[in-house]
Amino acid sequence: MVLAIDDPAVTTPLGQLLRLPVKFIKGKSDSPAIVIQAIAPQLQATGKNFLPVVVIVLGEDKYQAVLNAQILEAARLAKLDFVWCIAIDEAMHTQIKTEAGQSIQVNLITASERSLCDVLEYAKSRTPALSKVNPPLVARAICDYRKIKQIKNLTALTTLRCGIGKTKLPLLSQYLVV
Amino acid sequence: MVGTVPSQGSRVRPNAAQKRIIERWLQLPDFYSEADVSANLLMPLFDELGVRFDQRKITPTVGKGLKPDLLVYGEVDQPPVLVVELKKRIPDLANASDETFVAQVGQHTLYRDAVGYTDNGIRQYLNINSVNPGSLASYGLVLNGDFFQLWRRVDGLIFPLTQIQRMTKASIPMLMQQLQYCLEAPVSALVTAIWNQKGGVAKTTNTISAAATLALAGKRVLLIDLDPQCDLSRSLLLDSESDYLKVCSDFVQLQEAEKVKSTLESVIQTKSFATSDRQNFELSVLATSRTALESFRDNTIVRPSPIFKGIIQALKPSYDYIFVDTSPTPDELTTSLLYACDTLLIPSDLGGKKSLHHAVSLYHGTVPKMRGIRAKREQLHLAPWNLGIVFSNCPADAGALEAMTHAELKQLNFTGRLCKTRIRSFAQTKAAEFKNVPVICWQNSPITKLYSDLVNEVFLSHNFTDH
Repeated sequence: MVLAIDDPAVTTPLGQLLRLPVKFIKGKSDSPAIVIQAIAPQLQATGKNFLPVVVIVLGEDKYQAVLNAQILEAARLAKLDFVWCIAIDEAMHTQIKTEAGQSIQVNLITASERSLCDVLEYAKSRTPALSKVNPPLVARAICDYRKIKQIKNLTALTTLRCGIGKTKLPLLSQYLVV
Repeated sequence: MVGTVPSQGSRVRPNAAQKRIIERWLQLPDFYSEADVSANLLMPLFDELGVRFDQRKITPTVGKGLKPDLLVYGEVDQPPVLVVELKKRIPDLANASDETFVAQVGQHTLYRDAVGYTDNGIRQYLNINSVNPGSLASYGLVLNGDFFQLWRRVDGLIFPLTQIQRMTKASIPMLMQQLQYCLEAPVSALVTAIWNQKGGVAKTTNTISAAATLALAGKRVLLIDLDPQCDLSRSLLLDSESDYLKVCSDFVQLQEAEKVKSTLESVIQTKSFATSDRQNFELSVLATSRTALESFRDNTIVRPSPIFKGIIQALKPSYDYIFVDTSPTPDELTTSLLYACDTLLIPSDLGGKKSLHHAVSLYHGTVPKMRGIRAKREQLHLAPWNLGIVFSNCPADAGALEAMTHAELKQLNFTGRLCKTRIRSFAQTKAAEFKNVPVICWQNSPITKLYSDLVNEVFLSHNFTDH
């Protein structure tokens, strides 16, 4: 057997279950206090969480909870030293948001008219500033435009005369990509 | 905590004192005499570090023909903490590219003179055999306004504490922090492994015997048994079911140093031994069970190496020497050992082809590679350093083996150091195993003399390594 030399402390392995010190993880959840108070005794009884806290590595021994932060807060309340986590990077964060139903993104160039319409309905329901958007109209306009020109970026939407102006683009960019 | 410094690569935001030194340094011309570097950079730097004038001796005589540029004292009635060898600043090094700087400095006469490869330098000014005890420092600094490097002395052994570093706006705060660390003169054990990937080369016997010899010389010595076979603990009739590794693992991760320390103190066993000439010595031993070691080794959630390093850090202030024994199997425990130790002594059979092969591979391959990995994370205590290959289990009729061994080493392109002392086979060593005591308890035995010679050669008398 050959002695393999690598840096044993170099990075936090991504995508794997890790047991991290609670005090090194930043993060606050939006959950009501009653939810956190309900989780805490469960954690205290079993000594561990089964649903992992998802964290982004900020630096050596520095993490930011990006999902399931209610468990982190409950672990603090239960005075646990460690919490089970999964460390991720930005790319994995995007996938996780999709997996968790927090994020839906549809490709403007390849999506069907139906998909475009559905995602715009979803965006409208989640974002009050998009309440005046007419999803069937916008989806139709995109499909018509695609037939004659190539869409290079979201700015093209502002030229379609379908009710999408510059101010709405940042909001729509969460749901529509090129 | 004393001596915490940022890891290599992390930028230090300079404080006001550091900014003042940076301002001075930026004004230095590319060609600047040694006296000017001293007056306009080094002395103001020590002023900013709060070193009083009575704590400095300029060009003192420290031994016959030995006159370093500066001695710096922590307490005026104690031996100095730091000896400094300065050189002039020259355009060749001031304008060298970052890519070639370290290699250029390493080959340059100024640096080589300052260290003492070619002229009197740090190597001579830290020499325990020729410097007056009252003038013998624990640390050395070589500096010219472009390069700087710190060295460390533990008894007779001198080795680099840092890499060759380039003076820049970013590195000046680090230099000042490194000097501050040295000036605080922290007690820190020398952590040594006597290890070879080949089994049966007397690793455990050499470890116990070297540790016992140092303990008999009055040193505070700790032995750590990191071998799941627990041979070291068994040899000394010590066993322990305590799983300090599991408990400390949590505390190390939580960075609770005091809890790590108190856990370790509660499980360290101290055993007294008497020699045949009625001297006494004590060895402290940190032992645990085979199951605990295997569980630590095979942990897939937490890698053992950083945890073991944290354990070693907690133990260092309490001892002069720490020896770690582990199995020849290359695994996570071995990596932990190399990740934590300061020095490595490689035992090999005289004429043992396999053990020689592994010894050379360790000396020229594994050790520098691990040092490179550690250098990326640690500014100070750059390690591990090679102490050399020590021939063990040497038969009385070595004869032809000598020539064969040297031919093999030549073929393996070995350019390192071979210890002069050779550990021969004696029945007394086996007898000591039956008695569960270190063999050096028999003071008149020839094997005791050999271990005494080895410890003197490697640790107690003047010795220098940069391998």
